Amino acid sequence: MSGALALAEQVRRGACTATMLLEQARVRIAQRDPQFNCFTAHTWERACAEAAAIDAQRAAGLPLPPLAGVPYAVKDLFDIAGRVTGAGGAVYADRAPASADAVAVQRLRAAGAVLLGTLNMDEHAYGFTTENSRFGVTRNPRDTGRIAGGSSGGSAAAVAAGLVPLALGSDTNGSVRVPASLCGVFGLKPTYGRLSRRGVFAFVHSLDHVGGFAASVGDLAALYDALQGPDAADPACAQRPVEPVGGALVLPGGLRVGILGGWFARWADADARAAVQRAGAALGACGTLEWAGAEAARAAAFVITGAEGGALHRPRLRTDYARFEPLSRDRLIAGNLIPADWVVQAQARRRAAYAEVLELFRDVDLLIAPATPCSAPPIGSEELAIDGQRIPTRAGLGLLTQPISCVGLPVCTAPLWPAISPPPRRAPLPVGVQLIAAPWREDLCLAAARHLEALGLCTAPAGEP
Amino acid sequence: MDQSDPQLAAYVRSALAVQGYTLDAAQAAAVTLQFARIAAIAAAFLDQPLPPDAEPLPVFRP
Repeated sequence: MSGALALAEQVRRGACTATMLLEQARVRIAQRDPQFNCFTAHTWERACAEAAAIDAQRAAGLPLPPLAGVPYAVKDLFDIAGRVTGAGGAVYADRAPASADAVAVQRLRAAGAVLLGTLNMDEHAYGFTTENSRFGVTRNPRDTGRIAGGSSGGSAAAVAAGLVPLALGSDTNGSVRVPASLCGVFGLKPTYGRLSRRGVFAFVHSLDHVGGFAASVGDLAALYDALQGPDAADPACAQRPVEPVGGALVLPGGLRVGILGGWFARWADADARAAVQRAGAALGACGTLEWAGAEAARAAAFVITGAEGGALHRPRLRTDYARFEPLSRDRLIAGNLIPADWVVQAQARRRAAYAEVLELFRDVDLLIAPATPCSAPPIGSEELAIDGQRIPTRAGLGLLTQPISCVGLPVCTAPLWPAISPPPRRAPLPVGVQLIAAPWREDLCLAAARHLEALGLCTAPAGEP
Repeated sequence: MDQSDPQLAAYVRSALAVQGYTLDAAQAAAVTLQFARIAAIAAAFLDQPLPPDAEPLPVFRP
């Protein structure tokens, strides 16, 4: 499968039709997805209509939109008109079907993309492993004995497996960045408030972001550009104009780059730390900075998440406990019990943490940190061992992403592969680095990722390497 | 404070009742474990001083 921009160009030139691309994707998914379990449902009828509309546009001699005919799929929490949005579970299956597409889906349709279906996730986006008791576990295309990460695990795995060139996800505490890291694809979590979340099943309103995945930085930038734009109906969406990045993925001269140490080195294994050092060297990092408030920011995000997520689901937790995901329902209920003053303090701590990171950006333009403490753990792992310390897998995978999303910074996760051959009988596993910029500077995150990609340091090959 | 702390277990039992939950002992124990984890993580900031102008951050733009 070619990349998204290459496919759109083929359609534009008439080398193939959108309908042909759709049929190729259907065959690919039918043949390959059973081993990965990325999709929870398909939208073939709608996809046929969308592809036919693109082909009719071309036949009429009309200009085609930037993603004309490009197949994509969405995490199972984006509204699709006429379908019930399940958010990876069965608890809300009795809700009315969505009356309209989510804004992100509307914008991709306007950009010419063709929606193939919905993708697996941790139920209600509460988890980092995509071990879903209803839909089954999504297996990592790099090693099917390992998790894909979560909560947007189906999205990252679908791109890594080469099933679709683009996928949408959401990120509250790391749910784009963690699976991008473990599956070895590029992922973008923009600045909090950059992209509209209207029509996305909420998890934590204070922290929810829309994001996406692609196998190349150019494709990811094109996806991001198609999603941009203000939306007055999403209270958190900043009323900013579209600031396209796709045409300008070049690192500005004199870029000041720093590596985040402290918390971000302490909770990373040797592979993750080595990935950061290699990325830092390639980007000319000038040294290591410490954000002393990172642990407190992570803790604040954890408390806000528990309280808001628990409050969102409390009515159904009281009546439908047995229908909730066993891996997360007790955490949701525990969130109902968090004292109010902890939550208020957490929100104030978030404000203080934001001021702290803005201070860091007085000295640098870009920060680098590991995206996950390690590469993908085996399916079913209860604990991670990081430098001799054992931590619960389902919370621990977000240790390095949570502080960053707590303060809403834009991040591109870029996948690095081991520089040294892995032990015999173990597939080489990627681990991602977070390329972090000041608010609203997604362009810098993506330009840095593009630089690493051009050097051959970061790649996202389709399927097993 | 961990899940075996009697004060924490008593708090969880009481708060579950106030919130309207009727869980069996095993379910309540699972919630207690999760609440103990939240409390341990929250300890990272609960006693830290905050700048006086650190206004809570949720979005509200009337």
